[in-house]
Amino acid sequence: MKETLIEFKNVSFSYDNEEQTPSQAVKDITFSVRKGEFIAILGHNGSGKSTVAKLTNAILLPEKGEVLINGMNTKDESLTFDIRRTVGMVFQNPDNQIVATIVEDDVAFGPENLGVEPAEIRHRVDEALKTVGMYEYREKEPYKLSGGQKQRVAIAGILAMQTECIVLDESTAMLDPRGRREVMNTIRTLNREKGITVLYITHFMDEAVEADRVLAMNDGEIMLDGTPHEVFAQSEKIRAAGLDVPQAAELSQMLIEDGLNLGRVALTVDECISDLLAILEVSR
Amino acid sequence: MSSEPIIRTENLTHLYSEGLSSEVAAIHNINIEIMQGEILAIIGHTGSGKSTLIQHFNGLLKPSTGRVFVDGKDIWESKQATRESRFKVGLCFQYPEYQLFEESVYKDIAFGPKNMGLDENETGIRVRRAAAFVGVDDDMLERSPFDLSGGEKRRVAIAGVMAMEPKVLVLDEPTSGLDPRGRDMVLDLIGNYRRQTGNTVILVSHSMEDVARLATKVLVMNDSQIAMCGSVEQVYSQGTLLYEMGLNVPQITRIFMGLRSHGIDVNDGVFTVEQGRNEIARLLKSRGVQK
Repeated sequence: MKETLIEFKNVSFSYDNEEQTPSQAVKDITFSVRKGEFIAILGHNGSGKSTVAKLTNAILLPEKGEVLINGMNTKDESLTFDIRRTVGMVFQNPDNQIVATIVEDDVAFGPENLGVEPAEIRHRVDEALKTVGMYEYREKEPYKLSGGQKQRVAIAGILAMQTECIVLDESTAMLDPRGRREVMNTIRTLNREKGITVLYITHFMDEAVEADRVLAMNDGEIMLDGTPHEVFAQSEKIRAAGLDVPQAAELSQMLIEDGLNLGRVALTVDECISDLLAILEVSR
Repeated sequence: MSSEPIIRTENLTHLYSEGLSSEVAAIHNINIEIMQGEILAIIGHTGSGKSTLIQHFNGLLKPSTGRVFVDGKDIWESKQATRESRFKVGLCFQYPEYQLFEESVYKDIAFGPKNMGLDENETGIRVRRAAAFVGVDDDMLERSPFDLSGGEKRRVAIAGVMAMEPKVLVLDEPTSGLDPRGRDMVLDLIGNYRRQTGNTVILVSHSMEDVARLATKVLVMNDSQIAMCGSVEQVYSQGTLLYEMGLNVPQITRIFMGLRSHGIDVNDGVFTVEQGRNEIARLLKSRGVQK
């Protein structure tokens, strides 16, 4: 078993609300993330997903309970710097997180703030841009890039800080299909080849099935936690919580209801094709 | 349905930075006819010209060359014609909830009709009618738009455009950023609106699944030009071409394209899960398979 990177222990959080009685965004949740895991977090708007994301790097602090990052308690202000150096975040809107007028300056912003040596910054920026496939755009102006390219620059900015974990909060929501593919491929490569831990918040079920583990949130609580197959097999719970199942899973479930012996609920296009081929070949 | 298109463009071209070295055609030589009562989906990658195109439909952008006709009238023929096009074609931008600004939901929805010069009484009727379309209850009308959830704000913003009762409702990415439940509500209300009013709806979308559910016709933009225009069936059967343009087809369509490439004799025209279920049933039946 690999060591734990993120640990939530009985964490609750409420937003201050002047007019209404405060409602708990996150209710007594406990879970942990091991180093190198790729976890997708699902949930309807207001289910607490983004609150969980912001609790992981001390943007928000728990009201009750504790969040530990590599054993560091986020409530300890003297550790905030080290925590943010461990967990980096990419947000939804690509235009709201670029600060510089040249791509490579933007990527250098993080390590500069950490006080990294200039020669080392140069090295890290080049490496990070190569990793996300944006090296040839290093001297371009960010506003001329597509949404997917901007998000990859934002990811490079985090890599240049050499964080161990990246949290993406609906980072593909505003992108076109190509942009979504670019970001997803980048994240998968970082996870598999660089061992970076990923928390991936999304409304797109076809992205969630690519993760090793899926957490489905509902009304501030973790409703389901398991492999994509385990979680999406609970399609009634998933739908009741206002979420979708991938179309491949929907089709397999319908066909199983129709009496077809598929053996499992497929989650991806390839799984579904091979399950159907197995049945169709026999009947040929 | 009348045979005269509600919107027609003639060799429509729009240049940004016209005359400078950085001059670029955002849309180039666009000729389309949009008929009364259609739900037209416009798809294309970011920067393909979709948003530039729709901003010509109500005169927000002026063509560099070419013409735009709404209801048979050239919208740049006179100032009055341009103004009329603003009310005939209602445009709802992407993330419209960021444009809510009034102190109550009622006032926000009433902003458009008031601007048209309608009296209190008529404005009130229209606000309530539009609110009903989007599922906003009467008691919500007096609340501040800023106290609503993201999905509710989105629907209020759409109601604000509907309340002007345009002949053509144009929605730029109406479901982007919403969760599945919010998305379904918005898609349902667009379908209901179209059925009940018979008005034309134009939808810009990145979601091929949404388009498959709603559209009667699909226009694909690529590199500032029209790459394809036709029924959902015609366009979605060009999966490889769409992929090359940075687009995609729904997962369910990819499953059936895959089966076909493995030599299985399935129909190409599968765009929804229900169609997929029926197609597999048909296939098994034709092979005499007993379940």
